[in-house]
Amino acid sequence: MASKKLLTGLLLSLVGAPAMAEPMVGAGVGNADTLISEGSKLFNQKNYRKAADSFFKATRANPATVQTYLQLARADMLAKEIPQACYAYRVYLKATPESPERKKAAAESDQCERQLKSVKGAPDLVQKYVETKASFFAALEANSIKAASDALHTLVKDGFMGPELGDMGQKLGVAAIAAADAIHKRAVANETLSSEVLRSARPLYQTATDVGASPADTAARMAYLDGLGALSDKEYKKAETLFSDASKGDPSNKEYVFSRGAALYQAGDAQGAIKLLDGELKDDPRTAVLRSSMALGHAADNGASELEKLLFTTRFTPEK
Amino acid sequence: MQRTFRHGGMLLVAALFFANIAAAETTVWLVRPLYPGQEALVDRTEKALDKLMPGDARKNAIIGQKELAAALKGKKADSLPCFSAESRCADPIDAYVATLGFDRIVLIQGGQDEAGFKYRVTAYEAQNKKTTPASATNAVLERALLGAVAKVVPAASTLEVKSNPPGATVYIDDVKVGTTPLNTQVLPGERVVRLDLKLHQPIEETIIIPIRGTAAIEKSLEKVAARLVITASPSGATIAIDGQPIGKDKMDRGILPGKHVIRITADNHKAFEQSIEVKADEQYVMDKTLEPLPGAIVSDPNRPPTEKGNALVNKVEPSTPPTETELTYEKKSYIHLGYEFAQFEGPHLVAIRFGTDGVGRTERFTTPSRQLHGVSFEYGTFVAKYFGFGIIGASYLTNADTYGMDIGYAPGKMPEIINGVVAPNRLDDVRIHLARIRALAPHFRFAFWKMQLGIEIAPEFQSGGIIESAKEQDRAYRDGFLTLDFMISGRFNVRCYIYEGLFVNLSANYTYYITGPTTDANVHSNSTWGFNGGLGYGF
Repeated sequence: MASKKLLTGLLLSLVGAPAMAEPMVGAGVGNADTLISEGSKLFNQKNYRKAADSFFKATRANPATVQTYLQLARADMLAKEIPQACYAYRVYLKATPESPERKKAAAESDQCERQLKSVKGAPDLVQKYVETKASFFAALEANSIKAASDALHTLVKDGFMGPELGDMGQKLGVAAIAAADAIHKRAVANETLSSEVLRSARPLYQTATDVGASPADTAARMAYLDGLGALSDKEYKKAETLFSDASKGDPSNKEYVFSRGAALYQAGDAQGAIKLLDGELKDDPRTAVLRSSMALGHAADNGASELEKLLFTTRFTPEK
Repeated sequence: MQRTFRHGGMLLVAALFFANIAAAETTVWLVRPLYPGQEALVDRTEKALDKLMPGDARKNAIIGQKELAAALKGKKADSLPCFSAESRCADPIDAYVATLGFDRIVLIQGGQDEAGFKYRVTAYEAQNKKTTPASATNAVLERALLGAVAKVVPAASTLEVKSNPPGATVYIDDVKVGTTPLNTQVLPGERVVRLDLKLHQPIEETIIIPIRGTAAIEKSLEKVAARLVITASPSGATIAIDGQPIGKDKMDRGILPGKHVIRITADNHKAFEQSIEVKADEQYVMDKTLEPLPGAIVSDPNRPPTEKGNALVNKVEPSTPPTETELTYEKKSYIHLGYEFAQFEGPHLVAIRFGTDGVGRTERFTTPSRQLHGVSFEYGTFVAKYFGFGIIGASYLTNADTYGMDIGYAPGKMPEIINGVVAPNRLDDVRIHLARIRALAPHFRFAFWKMQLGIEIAPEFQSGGIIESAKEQDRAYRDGFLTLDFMISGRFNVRCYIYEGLFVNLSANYTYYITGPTTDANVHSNSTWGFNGGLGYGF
């Protein structure tokens, strides 16, 4: 009996695996302990198919816990998902060379393999796994995060399992965060970036999130970069909202605050901008310039006074 | 030879200078006071700038905040740098100021202090993102202002100075600018250049430096057998050597080695005369300020002008270095350490056996000699010229020779029984340890030359006075005897400062017991006299 998951994986592999914003590996999939507990409960209730689903998710949530593969194999076996069960037994036996339960599991695996031979038309995805893993590492080596992410998605959708899935997710996460953070760093350093570059960061952060590797301030960073994209597209209101979200997510980053002020200024709310910047970035040269500019717009006398203040406080350098 | 930068000449130079820098550029000149309370100097400086600029240059100059406001009228920054996605930056000031259309902004801080007028200047070019700071000080406002501004606003004129031998110090308008060979930028116009090299006759020359041009001076300096440099003040003081008037204010010339008589005279001042001996291959330098005659009102043009004008009324007493006596009085605080000797005057020293029923106590010395010696220290400070306090002092004393003491008992108390036998009523060999502490002792002093006489009267505690048998085998009273007395002491001290704050201290001491075991029981009053000698430091 062909596994539903395997069939789905096969179908997806035929149409091509798109990048999907859904957790692949790691804590984003769910709490591994809860899933195992839930699976065990379903198993005891003889609801083997649902138990297998829970155990399968648990292997995604924490691929390093090898015992889960044995529980999954047994649930699949009893649910008559022979190819899936045999695959899970293989993963378990490969990952657990010295377990007390290994002998018993090996016997169960042998029994499963015998039954598998009688199943006609069961797809063998092992070769495809090997090829996809190779393409994943090649893409990672070439720092092609998108291709590596797609490869990992394919593996996940094809039902690939094993502790190495966790390592692959971690490597992909580190690479994705590094690439996204590089864009964020350039943006925070006030480099003018195209909206394409700015928007390319979100999928990278999303990939990191999908493999459970996103840092705490990822949401703030994504909001900031999206805000800059909106600012570039002259969507000032949207930009202001995004910068506000970014500031709330990481109040320590004053560039987020300034960007919010810039969005307000561009939206025509210069008073709101100066109020915000005077409150949070009083000594920033950009605040001083906005203050001077607004004074100049109000009256020439005020403008001269503010300009003099600005120049003496920022450009007067006594001789050493 | 013209040595002073006359006002007319300065205006000419200023005109040439400002014409040079401001002909095609819009320059904003903004002034702020360097010191609080000198806001009036802002107006004076702005007026000086206005006056120093020739007409054409003035047209392109914006001086002060009011003119800046007029220049800014109608101007508005259409878009602020850093505020759009296309022009992101951290510091938009240069870009913002550049949009206002000024080629250069000169920021000036001006102040007046004892050294004269002081100007700190920063020339700021927003287009080039460049700031150039400079400063200058001079007794004349315009010269100080020009001196600072000239360093930061480009003047294309250059001056090349060479000398034979090289290494001579180059002064331009009395301002040291470097040593030969020298190539430097200078203000165009009339400048006084002076070359000065040790043991060589100095050379001074006035030259005209063209606008955006180059001027060169190359001079051979004549070696002299010896050189005499005299600077005299007040201004106008006449300098005479060997009875021959040589010049006024300052002279610098070669002179034959040997003895010479220098005489400096000025109206309303005491004449100064001194014999000197100038050796071959040496440079003799004298800088003399004459003392005004008592009651004379004199003016000194070298002093910076005050708000009341340039005339100054000198004090009748000339400023003279402090005398040794004054230096001695300047020492406010002191600390000294020394050897201390004391001798009991009376026959009693009562110390009590604490914690025993017998309340035994030492009473009378049985030996004629009752000498003590030890160490002492004291720290004190003078709050007025003649008066201060010994803040804290302490001494440790022990007996200098062998003591014997009678043991007595308080009235009505029985002799102490130790190990079943009556304790001895006499100790032949006792050891005494006395710690004396005194504090807040009023201290009067009188100083002459490096000597200081002082009298100190102190309340004093004698604490921790332990009297015990010196011989181990005779220690019938193992816990010893303890005394705690309150005394008053008088110290007459003589100090002599031997090097800066270091002094030798000698003092005669007298201590009288006021209350305590020694003074109770039918007034066993006692006293000590002694002396103290050591070293101290005054500061």
